[in-house]
Amino acid sequence: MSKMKKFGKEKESHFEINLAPMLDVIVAIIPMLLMSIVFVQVNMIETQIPQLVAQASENNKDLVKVSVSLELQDKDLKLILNENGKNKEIKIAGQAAGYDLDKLYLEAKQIKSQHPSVFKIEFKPVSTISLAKIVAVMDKIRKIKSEDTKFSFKDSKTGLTVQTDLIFPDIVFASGMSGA
Amino acid sequence: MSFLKRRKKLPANFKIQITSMVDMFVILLVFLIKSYSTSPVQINPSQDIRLPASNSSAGPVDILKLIVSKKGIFVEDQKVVDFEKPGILSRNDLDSSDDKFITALFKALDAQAKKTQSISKLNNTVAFEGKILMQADRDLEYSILEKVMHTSSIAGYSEVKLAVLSTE
Repeated sequence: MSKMKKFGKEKESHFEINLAPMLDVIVAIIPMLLMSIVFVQVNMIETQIPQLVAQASENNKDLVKVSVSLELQDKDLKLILNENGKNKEIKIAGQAAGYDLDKLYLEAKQIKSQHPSVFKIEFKPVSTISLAKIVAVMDKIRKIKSEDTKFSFKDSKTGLTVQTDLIFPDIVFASGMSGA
Repeated sequence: MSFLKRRKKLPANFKIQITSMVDMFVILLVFLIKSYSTSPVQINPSQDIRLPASNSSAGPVDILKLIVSKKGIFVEDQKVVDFEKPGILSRNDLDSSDDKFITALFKALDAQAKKTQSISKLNNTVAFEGKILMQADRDLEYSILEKVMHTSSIAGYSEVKLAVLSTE
């Protein structure tokens, strides 16, 4: 017992990691990262449809005789569905805070569920509306929320059922700006 | 001399405690790596422009850059139109027969289009696609943007992409 005690006392470990090389590496990496860091991430609004959906959408183009347009007025929104020459107007009254985007989402989703192969929407904003408001509307009708069920439609050429979470990603401005 | 001799005798056992410093640097490193962008095209919006925020996740592509700030219109960082008042075009900048046609902008865009087309004749990897990336201030009215888009489409740039700030 006394031997063990003696042995333990003699081999008392004093272990310490040498952090200096690690610090050197970190100090070398940090300036490099600082130089290439992006504090403001700029993206682009575009209408990139997944390949399979895009192909099916293209194949069904001739069959679709439905067009959807959206009038962005000062306070209200007007969704117009043109089906075989007949117009159906849905007025979405504005709120005190601005457009009722939640109602717009529901109405757009309703139209999309009836015509899932339609991806294009025509925007008709009034001249006084700001770009921020236009982009907010675009964001709302581009995609469904993750918890909502996807739309499915049949590709007329291949016969395959295609599923998509996109509502109206293909935005065309009445003045000619496409894809936004 | 006697003083120096006395100093040598003192035991030098001085150590800086760097553990907390390493901790701090590791946290900083993680933050920097998270913010590090691998996108080949980087857009740095100028100070006098506030881009609209969007949930779009599409990264920017390397195409002709058009900036519409409250002060004026720029093509590839070169000012082509000065606004009379913030966000308001002067009547002189517009064509007399077409009130949506911005003459100076058309000239600048047309020159860029011709330049790209002449390069594409010599270099097969370069092609004129008629795409433009517009960085426009979020508070600008659609009336001004409509004029810019109208002029761009006449100059051959019919596909206008909007630069937005990522909210994700």
